[in-house]
Amino acid sequence: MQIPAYSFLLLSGGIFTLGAIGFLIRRNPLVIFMCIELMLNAVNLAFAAISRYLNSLDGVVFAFLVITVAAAEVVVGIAIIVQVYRAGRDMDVDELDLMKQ
Amino acid sequence: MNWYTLSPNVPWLTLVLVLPLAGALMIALVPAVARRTVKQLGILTSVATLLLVLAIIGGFQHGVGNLRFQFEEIRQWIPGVGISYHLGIDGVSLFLLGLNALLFLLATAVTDPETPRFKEFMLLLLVLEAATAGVLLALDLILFYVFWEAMLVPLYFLIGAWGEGQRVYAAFKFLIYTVVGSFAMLVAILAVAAISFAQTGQLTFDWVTLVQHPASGTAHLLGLSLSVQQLLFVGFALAFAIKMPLFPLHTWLPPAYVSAPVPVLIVFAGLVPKLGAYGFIRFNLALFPDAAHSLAPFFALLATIGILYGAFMALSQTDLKRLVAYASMSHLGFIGLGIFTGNLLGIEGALVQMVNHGVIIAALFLIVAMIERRSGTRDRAQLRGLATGTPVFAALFLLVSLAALGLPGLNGFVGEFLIMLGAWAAFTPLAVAAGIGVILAAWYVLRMYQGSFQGVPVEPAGFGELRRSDVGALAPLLALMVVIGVSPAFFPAAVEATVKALPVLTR
Amino acid sequence: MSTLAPLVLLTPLAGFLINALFGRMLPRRVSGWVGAGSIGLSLVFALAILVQVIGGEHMDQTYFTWWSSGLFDVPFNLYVDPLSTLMILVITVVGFLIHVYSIGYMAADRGISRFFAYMNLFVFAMLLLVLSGNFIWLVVGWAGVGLCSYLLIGFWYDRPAAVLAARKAFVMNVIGDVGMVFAAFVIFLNLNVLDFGSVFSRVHQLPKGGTVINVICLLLLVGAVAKSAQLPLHTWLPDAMEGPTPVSALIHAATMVTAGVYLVARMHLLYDWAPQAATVVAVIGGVTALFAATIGMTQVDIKRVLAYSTMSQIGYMFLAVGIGAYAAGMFHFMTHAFFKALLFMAAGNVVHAFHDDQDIRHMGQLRRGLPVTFWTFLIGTLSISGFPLLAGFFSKDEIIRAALSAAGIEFVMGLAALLTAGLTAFYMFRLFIIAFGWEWLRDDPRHLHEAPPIQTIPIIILAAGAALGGYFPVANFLEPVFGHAVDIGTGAFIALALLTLVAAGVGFALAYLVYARRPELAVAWRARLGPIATLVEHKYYIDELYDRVIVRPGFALARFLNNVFEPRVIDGTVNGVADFFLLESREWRLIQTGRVRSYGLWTLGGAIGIVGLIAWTLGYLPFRSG
Repeated sequence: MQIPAYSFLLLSGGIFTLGAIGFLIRRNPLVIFMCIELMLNAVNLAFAAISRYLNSLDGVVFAFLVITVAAAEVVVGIAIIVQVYRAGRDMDVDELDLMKQ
Repeated sequence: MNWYTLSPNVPWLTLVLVLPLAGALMIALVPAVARRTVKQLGILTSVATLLLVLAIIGGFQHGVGNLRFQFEEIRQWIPGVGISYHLGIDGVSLFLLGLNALLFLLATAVTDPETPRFKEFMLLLLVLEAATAGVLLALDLILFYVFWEAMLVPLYFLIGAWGEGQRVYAAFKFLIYTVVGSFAMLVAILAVAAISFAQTGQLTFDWVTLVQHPASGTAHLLGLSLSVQQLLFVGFALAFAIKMPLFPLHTWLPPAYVSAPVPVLIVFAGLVPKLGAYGFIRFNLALFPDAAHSLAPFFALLATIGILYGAFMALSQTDLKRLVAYASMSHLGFIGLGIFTGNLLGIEGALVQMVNHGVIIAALFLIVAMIERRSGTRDRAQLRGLATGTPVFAALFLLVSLAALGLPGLNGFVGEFLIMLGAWAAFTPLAVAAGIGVILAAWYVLRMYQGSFQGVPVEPAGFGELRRSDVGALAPLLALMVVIGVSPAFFPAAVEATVKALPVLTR
Repeated sequence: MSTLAPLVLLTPLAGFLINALFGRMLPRRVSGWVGAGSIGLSLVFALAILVQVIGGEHMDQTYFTWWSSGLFDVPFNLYVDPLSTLMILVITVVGFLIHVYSIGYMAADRGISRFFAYMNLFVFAMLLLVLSGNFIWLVVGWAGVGLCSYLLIGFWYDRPAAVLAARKAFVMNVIGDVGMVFAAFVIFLNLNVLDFGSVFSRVHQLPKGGTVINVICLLLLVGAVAKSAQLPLHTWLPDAMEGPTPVSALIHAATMVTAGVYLVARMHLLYDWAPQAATVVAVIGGVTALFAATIGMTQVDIKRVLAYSTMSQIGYMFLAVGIGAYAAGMFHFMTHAFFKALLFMAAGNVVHAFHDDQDIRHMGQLRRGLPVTFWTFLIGTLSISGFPLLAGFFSKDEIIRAALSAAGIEFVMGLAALLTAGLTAFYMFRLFIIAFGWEWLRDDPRHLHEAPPIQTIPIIILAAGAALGGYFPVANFLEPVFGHAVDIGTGAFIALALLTLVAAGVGFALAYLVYARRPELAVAWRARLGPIATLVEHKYYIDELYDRVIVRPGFALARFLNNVFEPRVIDGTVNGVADFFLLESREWRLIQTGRVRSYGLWTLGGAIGIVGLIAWTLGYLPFRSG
């Protein structure tokens, strides 16, 4: 049975929206990170689906690229969070505005 | 004619780029506390690069004109948009490449290993060497642009982090100025490629293709209306004029030179401005011969104003570093004037003067640094009578000063003579003005030399003679001053064919 | 000959290198003898060249290429003909004697090896100047002698006056160098060659008396005038007397300052082709001769009097070469080298005897103390004043004769030269009477000491030259270069010779009357002449004029550019642009709160906006574009 492509896109859009909303309303950096992952994976899903739909490998290649970037981003991000935590800062993104200078 | 033939199977020019980078990589692997090892690695790398470049200069075949390059390498890079890794060398870039290797060797040799964060310093210096060499070798417009911008990064940090005085301000000002020029150039590069695409249906950034229509053998950009050519010309010119710098785009220069640490200054003042001049010859005169011809009087005028302006500014400086900075600007005016004469002798004079300027300015800044290290100041008003007790120092400083003021028989004269001869043929009044610049040069250079080394000494002792290593650092520069001054015939033998084939001469 | 000529050049260079590189390790006397010996060796080679040139040989030999590109093909070639042979002989003979003299004169000086290094370098550059066979190397030698002149004027670099004088000399000489270089440009662009042989053979392609050839000759003249201290670029020469006395003798009397005369003589084919420029040369020469002689009458520094005398005598030579009497000019160059070098070296002995006091009013009664110096100085004075049958009589006479037999402005210059002959006798005997003391029959109360033989023997040899140099057949020797001189007939010859004799006699008589017999007359005349005398004593205020018109405005402009123009106008514009963006950015950066989530909202909004815009333009939204 063929699942139509638009249902994947709908699912992808839904997950992305969830991620975006989470990103905006949550204050804990770890949760924010998870939301970012959610958004990225939503995009991956769309890539994979359309790739299948178009019978082309380009989308899958992009999905791999996104996965790699996401992994790298998490590594850097977690490292920063740990550093901030060690510095004894509050784990609230609204309070972290050192870059404002 | 050439002395020997280098194997065509070896990517010689890539090696020139790779060697400094490999040295930088090795330095990165050495612990930062091993300062001596870092320094030895740095010197070893620069010596190896210099030897390689000398081998290339020796194997360079004379008399190959017709816009052809030697030691050419082409690899596909981004074939979809016609960008390739294309390196090559001709008479215009040959001796500048040699100057590049020589000055970087000097810079690594004179760096004090006790400099804070010495390892990073050396690393950046070697990366900078690869970038500047790339600027000289790249024959693809995008590749050139990449090297051009890559040069900025190490320079910015070298000045901003290791400089003195208002170093951050100076580095920032330099960066902003240059980036403005670079963007103008990038737009022009894209426009050139787009126009070429529209005309031939082939998208390419390759200099050799762009300059010479593959089918008819004529420069197809000539088909453009003059005003479009002029616009593109100005796009390129802005980047190069800022880098040189041409009057009135020079105000980044004095703070940057004053702030830069001396090893950086050797390449920053001795080499980087010439890359601007090189860009003028390689791109402006080659890609837009008609625009170059029509705009030449204007640019030659700017260059001449620069000669006189720099000379007058040098007259009123008391800080020796600033004085040399403006003297450098005045000399660069000569190079600019030579380029925009648009005739064989003027351009050849500009080419030889580029090498001379690097040699002379590097030596002058080295000497200023030696004075400062000994006396703790470089204010001319506080220096007097240093020659008492330091005869060798006085003699070498005198020799460098004489080369700087263009004494016939030393190297500065060769370039100035040819440039003014070319200028006399093209724009006689500007040649006369340049002659006044020569007279002013004698004035401010002697004021600098006599003001610091002659007269009654302020206090009898405390100013030490040159050390062996100081003399060693100056020796290659002094040798070049005499050799180029007495017997420069090797120079035109190598560059004449290339210059003769420049589109601005053959239009 | 093609090996001899480089040898003449290279021996002084070798002497220079030895003294420059190893001078401080050598014993003081060795330094001196290396210096003098290298010139002596050069003299031997020069004599060998002389033998060959007398045998009728010429040489134009290329040794290596200097620059070759397109039409511009400049070799390093040496050009030997009677003219350059005469020059190298005078340079090496007088140079050798002065070097020997310097061994004694500079014996006590700390920097003796430096001194001889500079002197040898000078002789090398001077020989290069006269032997060079093209304009590039002529300019190299030309600037090289200027450099050595600079180095030697400022030899005592801890004296501020010497340092200033050296810089002044150098900068004024660079003005001349630039003129020469421009002349070379015009020559190359019109004739496409720069070597003398080709230039001389092609000069007739230019229209005679046309603009081009006149411009060439006038530009060359700029160089000649600066180097030879002729009006209006003369002010450096009197100041140059700050250097050691042997330097004044060699560079600022015998050789370098006469390079301008050599240049015009070397380029005589060009000047023959440009009569207007030649007239300018003659006028500059005549006017300078008179002008410098008047100043010479008022100076009290013994070396400055001699410096103005040098300017005046070179004025004679310029007059000669300007009216086409090239052989006469070169003849006077040779005799002048003898007697002026003699006068300077003798003056050096006197100055040493008076412990470096150069004011002639403090001197006197030198016959007993310094007999050799006294008598040789007298011979020099007589020779320069044109005493019959001494060298100066023949050479100066020939110039005045040639000028007076011309017409027009040249004739007027001849009259000026005749007047100058009288003034020369006057100021030289004024100097002699005041400095050496007319009262030579009385005893000398002071204990003055004659210089050692090493300083007197060269002077005696030069005195022989100053006495007998007039009998050298210079005109015949130079005939292959300049052609045969015009003969004016015996009657006119004797009449003109008598005329110059009368002029010199009047000058001598006046000097004798005013300074030996009736000193009170000098005071009275000084008072009567009032402002004119003040004007002359201040050298016509030309130094002050240059200071007001060139030097001070130059520095004012430099200060204006540095203090006002650069920071306010140029950098002001740049910083103004920067300030604008800074001001704008100050407002825009309020939206950068530093909060991650606010950035996130902006990003999301931006993304939605962009997607919406694309969708709208592509027509996927319910409301359509356009």
